[in-house]
Amino acid sequence: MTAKLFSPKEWQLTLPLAFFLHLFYIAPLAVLLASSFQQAVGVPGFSLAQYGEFFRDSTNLKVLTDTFLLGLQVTLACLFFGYPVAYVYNRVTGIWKSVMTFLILLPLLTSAVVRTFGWVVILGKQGLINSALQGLGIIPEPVKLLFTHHGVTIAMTQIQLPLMILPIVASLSQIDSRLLAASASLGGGAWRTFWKIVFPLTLPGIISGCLLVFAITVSSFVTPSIIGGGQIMYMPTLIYQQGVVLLNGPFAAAISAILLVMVLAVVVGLSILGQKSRTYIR
Amino acid sequence: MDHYMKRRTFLGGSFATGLALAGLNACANQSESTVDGSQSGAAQGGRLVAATYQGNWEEAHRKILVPAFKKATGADVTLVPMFAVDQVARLQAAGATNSPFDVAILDPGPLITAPKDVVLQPFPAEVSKNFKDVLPRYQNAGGSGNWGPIIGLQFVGIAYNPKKITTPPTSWADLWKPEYKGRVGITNMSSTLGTGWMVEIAKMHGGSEADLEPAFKAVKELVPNLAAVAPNLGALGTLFQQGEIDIGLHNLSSIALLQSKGVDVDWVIPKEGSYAFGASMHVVKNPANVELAAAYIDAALSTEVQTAMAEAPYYIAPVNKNAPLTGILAEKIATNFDDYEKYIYQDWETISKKRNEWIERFNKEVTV
Repeated sequence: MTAKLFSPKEWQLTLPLAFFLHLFYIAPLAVLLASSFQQAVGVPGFSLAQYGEFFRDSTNLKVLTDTFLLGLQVTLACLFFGYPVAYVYNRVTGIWKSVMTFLILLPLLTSAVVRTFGWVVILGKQGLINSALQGLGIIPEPVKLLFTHHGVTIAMTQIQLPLMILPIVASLSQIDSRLLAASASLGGGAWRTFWKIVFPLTLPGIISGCLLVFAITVSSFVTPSIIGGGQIMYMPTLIYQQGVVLLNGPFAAAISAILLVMVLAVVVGLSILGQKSRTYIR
Repeated sequence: MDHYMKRRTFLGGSFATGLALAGLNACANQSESTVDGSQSGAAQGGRLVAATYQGNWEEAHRKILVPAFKKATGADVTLVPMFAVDQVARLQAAGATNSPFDVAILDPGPLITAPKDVVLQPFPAEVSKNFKDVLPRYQNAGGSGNWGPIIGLQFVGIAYNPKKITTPPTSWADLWKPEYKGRVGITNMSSTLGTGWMVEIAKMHGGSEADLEPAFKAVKELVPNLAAVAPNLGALGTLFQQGEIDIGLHNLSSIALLQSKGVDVDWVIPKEGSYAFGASMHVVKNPANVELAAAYIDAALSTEVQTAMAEAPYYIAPVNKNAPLTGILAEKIATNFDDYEKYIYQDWETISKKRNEWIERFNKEVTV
């Protein structure tokens, strides 16, 4: 009887969350979008002036492309460093599995602010990297890493890495080991088996990892603002500057909307790729 | 098989998403935990929510002002550390009947551009018994309108690392010296410190509060020397601490605090003079309890609190005429209150007219 109560209308189970999201996410988002169409602060009405102003200014466009570039670089770097870790994680057993779980999750266990300050110490002029390279005689002068785009990319990669590794681990763990045995018995070498069997089967995990890393990187504020200093601007720092420092709400809302569109475009693009990858697996 | 796999993929994905959200939450908590309590706290009787600056101000207020206020009123205080610009933005976003805190602490830049009649209400000076002891110049921080008193002064000069720069600098022009290539630190114009500095540089080259054109021109020539452009004063202090910069602008109290922590840094007044600006306290629009908010500001003005704030390691210059000038303040700034008059007080009313435009221009033009 009780089982029947829900079974015909399972979708009702999503109602609490749907209600919650509408109230606290969709509604504020609507307010945000509405205010981005204001002519100026406190002037109601519909106008594309804020968007026009954004795209007219080459500095803003540079911020937009820099943000996209940051997302792309961090995503690729996470994939490059994360995939091998996920692969090894899937192979180890026993105590090493627990150790690796802990190590992979470690970046998520400390706060973003603490991690970021750690990177400030490492990347600084007298920091770990520069003093090591100088001590070894590789570089005569300290390399400028702090307050640069590269510095932000390095720190963000470390911070986002778990978000790439975990989905890949999830899809690696589902690969039927008999497939690998079959490949080997048919004469496939280790690399060929990897590229023909393992890698394609983990594409869904790679794509969800990329989605997470990209979306969170381009919208993160703490790390880019501390490592980037007062100079390197990304979309979130620009939103903060316009909304909080200059009290220019409508323009900040328009920048937020543009950032949202960029993230959505990437999400849609990767989802299509995900669909394609699934047909490829079949 | 296929269906099963998809579900697993989905589960894996959701697991990762959950983790991501947990991570995000942790980040969000960084800023939110500070306002925690303000939601419930603001409305309760006998409890006040007061904004304060991060760092030494928060520590000084927790150790000196809060106990004094408790003694005077019996009420409790929740301190909310926040930049002045964040305070104004939050007050504006929260609306006039729902303020997230009762007392704001601002400096000239954010104060002058804030929509004061929306986010603040006039300070009831008549109920403040310590208000009359405040030196007249500092009784009204917003210029006109009685928005609240200045509670402490900052003096800006040249900060430098005496270990690396053996001849003390004497002028703002020294920052342009070729030997300081890649060693100079400044802040951008979002901070009061940075805006004030640009005004001083403009004045050196024939400009004024209304005309920063000469300053923009000069700062472009400074770019090769710049190691960093910090977003705020706190970040600039950290740069001295980490040896990222050897010379720059800073205020005396922050530098004195760094010195007390063993950082190699010293502070001098350039021959162009030191510009002073005040931190001011304000009752926000429709606070939970006006009397308590006024009493908190009154406590901040009291001789007892002003004296303690002026001592080591905070050295916030007092505005109460009964507070003694001692220690590093007496040594570097003033032995009596008449000496305060020799400092530069910039015309923020004029600066405010173009400040937003300048902030944007600075961020676009001054890139290291």
